[in-house]
Amino acid sequence: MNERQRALLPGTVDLVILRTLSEGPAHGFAISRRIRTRSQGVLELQDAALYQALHRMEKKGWISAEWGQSENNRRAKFYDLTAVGTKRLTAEARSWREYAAAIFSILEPAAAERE
Amino acid sequence: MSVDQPEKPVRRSFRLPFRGGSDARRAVDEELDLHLALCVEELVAEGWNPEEARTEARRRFGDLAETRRYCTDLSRQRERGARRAMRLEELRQDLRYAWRTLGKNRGFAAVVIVTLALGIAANTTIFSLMNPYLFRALPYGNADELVQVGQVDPVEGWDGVRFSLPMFHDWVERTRSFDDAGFYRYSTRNVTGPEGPERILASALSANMFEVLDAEPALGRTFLDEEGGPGGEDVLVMSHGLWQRRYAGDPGVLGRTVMLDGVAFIVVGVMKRDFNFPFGEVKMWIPERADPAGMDRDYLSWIMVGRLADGTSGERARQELLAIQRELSEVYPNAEGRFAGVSVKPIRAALNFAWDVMRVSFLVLLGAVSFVLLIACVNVASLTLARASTRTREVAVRAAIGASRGRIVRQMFTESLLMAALGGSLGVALAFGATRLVGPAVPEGLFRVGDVDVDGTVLLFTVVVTLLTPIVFGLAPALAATRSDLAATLKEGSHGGGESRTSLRGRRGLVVLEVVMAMVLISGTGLMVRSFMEVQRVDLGFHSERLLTVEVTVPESDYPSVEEQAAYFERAVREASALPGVEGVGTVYPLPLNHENMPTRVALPAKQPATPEEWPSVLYGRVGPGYFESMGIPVVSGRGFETADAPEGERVVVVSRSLAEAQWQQESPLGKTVLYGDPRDPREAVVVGVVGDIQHDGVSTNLRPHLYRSLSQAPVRRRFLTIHTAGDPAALAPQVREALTRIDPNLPLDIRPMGEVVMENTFQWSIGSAFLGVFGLVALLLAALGIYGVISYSVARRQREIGLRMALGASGPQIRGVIVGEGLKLTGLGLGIGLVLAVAVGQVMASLLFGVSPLDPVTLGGALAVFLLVSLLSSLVPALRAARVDPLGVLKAE
Repeated sequence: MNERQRALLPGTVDLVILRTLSEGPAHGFAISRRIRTRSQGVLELQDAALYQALHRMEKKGWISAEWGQSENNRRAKFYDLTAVGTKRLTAEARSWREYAAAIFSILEPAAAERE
Repeated sequence: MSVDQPEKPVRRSFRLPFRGGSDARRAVDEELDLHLALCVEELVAEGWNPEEARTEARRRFGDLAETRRYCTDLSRQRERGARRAMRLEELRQDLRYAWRTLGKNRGFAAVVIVTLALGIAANTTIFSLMNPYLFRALPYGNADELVQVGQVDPVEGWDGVRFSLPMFHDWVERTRSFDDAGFYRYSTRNVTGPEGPERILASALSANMFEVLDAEPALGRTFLDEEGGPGGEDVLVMSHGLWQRRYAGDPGVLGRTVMLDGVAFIVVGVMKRDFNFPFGEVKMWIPERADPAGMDRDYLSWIMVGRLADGTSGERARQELLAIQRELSEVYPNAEGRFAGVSVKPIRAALNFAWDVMRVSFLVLLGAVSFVLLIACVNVASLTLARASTRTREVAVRAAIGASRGRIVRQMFTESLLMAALGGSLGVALAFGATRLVGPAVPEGLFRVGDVDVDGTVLLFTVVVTLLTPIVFGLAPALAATRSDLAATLKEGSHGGGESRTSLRGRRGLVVLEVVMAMVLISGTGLMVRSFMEVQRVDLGFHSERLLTVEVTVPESDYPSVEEQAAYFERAVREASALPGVEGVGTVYPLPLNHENMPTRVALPAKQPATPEEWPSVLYGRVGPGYFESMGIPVVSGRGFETADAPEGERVVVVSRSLAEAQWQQESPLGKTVLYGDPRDPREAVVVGVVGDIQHDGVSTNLRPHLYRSLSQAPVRRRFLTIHTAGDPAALAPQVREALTRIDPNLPLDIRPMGEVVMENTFQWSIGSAFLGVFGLVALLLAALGIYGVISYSVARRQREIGLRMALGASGPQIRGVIVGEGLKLTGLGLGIGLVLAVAVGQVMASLLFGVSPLDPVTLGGALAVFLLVSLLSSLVPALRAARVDPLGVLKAE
């Protein structure tokens, strides 16, 4: 996979971050590493985009932030899902699943033909 | 009292981590720096050297500067929003809390709300009275552009000399200051028809006057250009009020014929309700039909109104018109040449003749109501202060769990605001009622726009006043209550806590303030009431009690000749005299105290002054036989007029005593010749009698010498019958009307007891006394309440001390003396300061006073006495209570 393919599709950044936070509160760096780990290094979110998205969602009230201690005792800003954010995640995830299913239902038969 | 559970506001105080812009910036920096640091650590762990790792971390991050800027902006916006939401939430909580607190203290809240409501209602009422006269927009488009033009008489100094039509046209042709200009004059007409005869003021206008005024009719149209001037159609536009009253608001009135002085006019329009020109009593408008061609240039009958051109100031217009006046003076030395200048006045000031008196009256009334409201606020402040001190514990608890002082002050202020808002709403409701009562009592004759009512401007005024009151009465107590020492208060124990020393001192200060203001108000009221009493004591020179007046104008159409006119009045006098209960009937023009005077100039043939201007100006009356007797004006020497003074006989005059003394000193004027009229062309007459002087121009004006002629030798179509009655004159009015209607059913009769005419002249003082009387009484009552409140509180607080004193042998009277003395001390201080201020306020009122000095010792002394009595009474009640204290009981209770 080249650089271009590893970048996230537009509109999926928020979804991926929200999903990551559904595992528990985390600071920016941790979120970035969680995304990399979960996608087995396939997906990479540029740091600049990550932080801009975090602040955007905080203002929208999807996530909340609180200052706390990081693993090695440094002051870090921890993000957490809010009730609104959770709802948002469920809705976005559903529509993505439906979208992906639709795409696959078009792609799969073709793949079958080739075999 | 119970302590309310500390709720959300306290917890919320900890929520916001960052305030201000630089904090948002620092937070974003810290967050991003941590990220970069962690990245570098990661890279170093992977084997990068630290220097390169730092560069790589930055490279991987992307646009760091842009992200920093973007995130900082968002943080700031987010915090601003959060702060706003929190403030709103706090306000909501404060209001809910305030509502609950007031609900728990209903008595206190009710007293405060009603007190404020009275104060606000008084202010709103007075302001709504002033509004149509001083503030409400004139119904003439952009009225700031409208000016009235007059010429200045060099002798009298009068700056409102009118124009003749030839003058008007010459001036308007030359001036560039006006977009448009028109003229008007007005006179009373006999209006007849199936609705009955009636005297109505009508104004004759230039055909373009409605356009100059920028006024549209409600119904029909105004005048067409061709309807002005000679030969135009006789059309008529009427006022909305007249249309409603006389024609029952029937739209079919358009096209109908109405008779004015026997001439038929066709109704073409009805103006809007608010339209009014040149003042409220003018109810009909007709096009001016006089012909400028061949008119005497010195026939000065019309008033000029112009709409200033864009960017032209009144002063620039005046300069231009002055130049025109000078230019025309060369050509017409006997017309323009006689005048010494031009006046250009804003239309509002020009149309309201009583502008000056009115402004001072309103200033005084508004000052009085402001004082009432201030006293009300001070009373409320005192109450709030008393209550605040019992709340110190509640405040301390709230402070202990984290509420800031500002937060608590805000909370208490919200309570005050809520009470003010409730008081204001109640006050407006009261004012609605009050204006309905007061509105009709205001005379219609003065210029005003619309009715006396509560409109948007008035409501805005009330809202501002209402919002100001809690600042006066609520802020200081709130600050005082929160100043107390937290720990000390909490230690004090669980009971409500007594009033602190500082708070009682504060309340005493407020009482002094209250007494000061009430003293000023009461002495102002006293001066006004004394003026009213003096005015009523004025010797008018005639008796006004058992006197009925009838105004009649015989129209030229029905009574073309002087003989026919005279015959009507002779018959009218005869018929009226024949009525039972009538003691005497006379005729006169003009009627005394009816705001009409036509001065003339007099001189003796042997002692003619050098210039016409030096001829003394005197009042000029025309009277018929029996007039002096019916009025009770004494004939000092000689005789009054008799039927024998025939029109073609020797010209005779009667002079008043002051005129006789001024012209003939010790000599008798009887049989002497006097010159009168235009000094350049005077007439001669022989003096046949001397009568007493009367007040003609007004009750408060100086006596003016009076010259009387006989109506038979100087006839006029408009006259007043003066009917001296045996009993109540008003009771005789129906019989008089019936008798006169029998002579001519088409003549409008305006019948009024003379007492009513006199009352119009004393209106200024009667209404002033009434208003100020009410305000003064309210102020006195509020001040008494204030004194009572503080003294009884102090007695309650000192129960133990009093008990101890009594146990040690102090007698009841001694205790009473101490308490009453405390009250008098407060009052005395207030009265001292109040007296000084009252003298100052008296100076402001001086122009409204009559027959009393602003330093009137009776008024000031009276006010002092009343106050001492009131303060004595209001501290006596608590003093009696104090003397009844059971020493044993009090001491045991401790």
